[in-house]
Amino acid sequence: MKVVASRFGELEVREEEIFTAVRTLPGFPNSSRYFFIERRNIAPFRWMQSADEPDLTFVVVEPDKFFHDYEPRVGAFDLEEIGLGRGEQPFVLVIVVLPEDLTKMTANLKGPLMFNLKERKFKQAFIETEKYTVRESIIEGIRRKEKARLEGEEGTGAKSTKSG
Amino acid sequence: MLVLSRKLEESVMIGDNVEIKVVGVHGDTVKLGITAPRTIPVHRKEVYEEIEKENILASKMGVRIEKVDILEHIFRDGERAEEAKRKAKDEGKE
Repeated sequence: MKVVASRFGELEVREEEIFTAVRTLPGFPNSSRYFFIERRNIAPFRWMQSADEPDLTFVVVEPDKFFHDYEPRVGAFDLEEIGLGRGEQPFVLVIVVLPEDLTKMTANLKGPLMFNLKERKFKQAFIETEKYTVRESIIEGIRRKEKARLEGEEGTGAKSTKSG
Repeated sequence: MLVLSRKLEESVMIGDNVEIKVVGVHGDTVKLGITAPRTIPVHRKEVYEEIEKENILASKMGVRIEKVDILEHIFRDGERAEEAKRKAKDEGKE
């Protein structure tokens, strides 16, 4: 099918590349079909383009690229809605905000996108915890991840302490 | 809006299978216990609003394609700077 995307022009998108939001994303009730645009020069980020609204494009990323200890608790309800059973793991992406100063990039860890890749369904979950915010600094995440990695490498012999 | 007064441990039924019970009152905070089928999502309103606001912001934050190219450099520089800082600190300690 042909899809017009403001940023990318007219694109040919195969039906099997479309992911359907079982609940529309808060703020965007008119878009339920999305697809990804991946380009090597923006990896690990990718664009998530609405197939319903040409102007609607998000930048998304797999959270573990930057946040090593991100473990959102996924409710059975969320899993059920996207057609996954108990114990099945959704594929998780988070939405990124890119301000003018890119070092101030943030990711929304409170509203992760949970995907059922097989059935090509997804939804934005709401993580009811104070632990994660909608605006987590990506640079800080990289620093913490790097720190954890270095600590791991140093092999101090100490049991890993719980990082907050 | 329907307004009802409830005492501690009293509840309100919404339909046949949603119960909202007052389980605690402390100062200006009311603790509610909610029993609902799993198919009904229950969220604090501000969480929804917060996510909505952030989604809208994310969609507007011009995905400046030409700028995205430099992300890689920023990360590399950021990591390098952090590494240098850490080393300087470690050496200072010794």
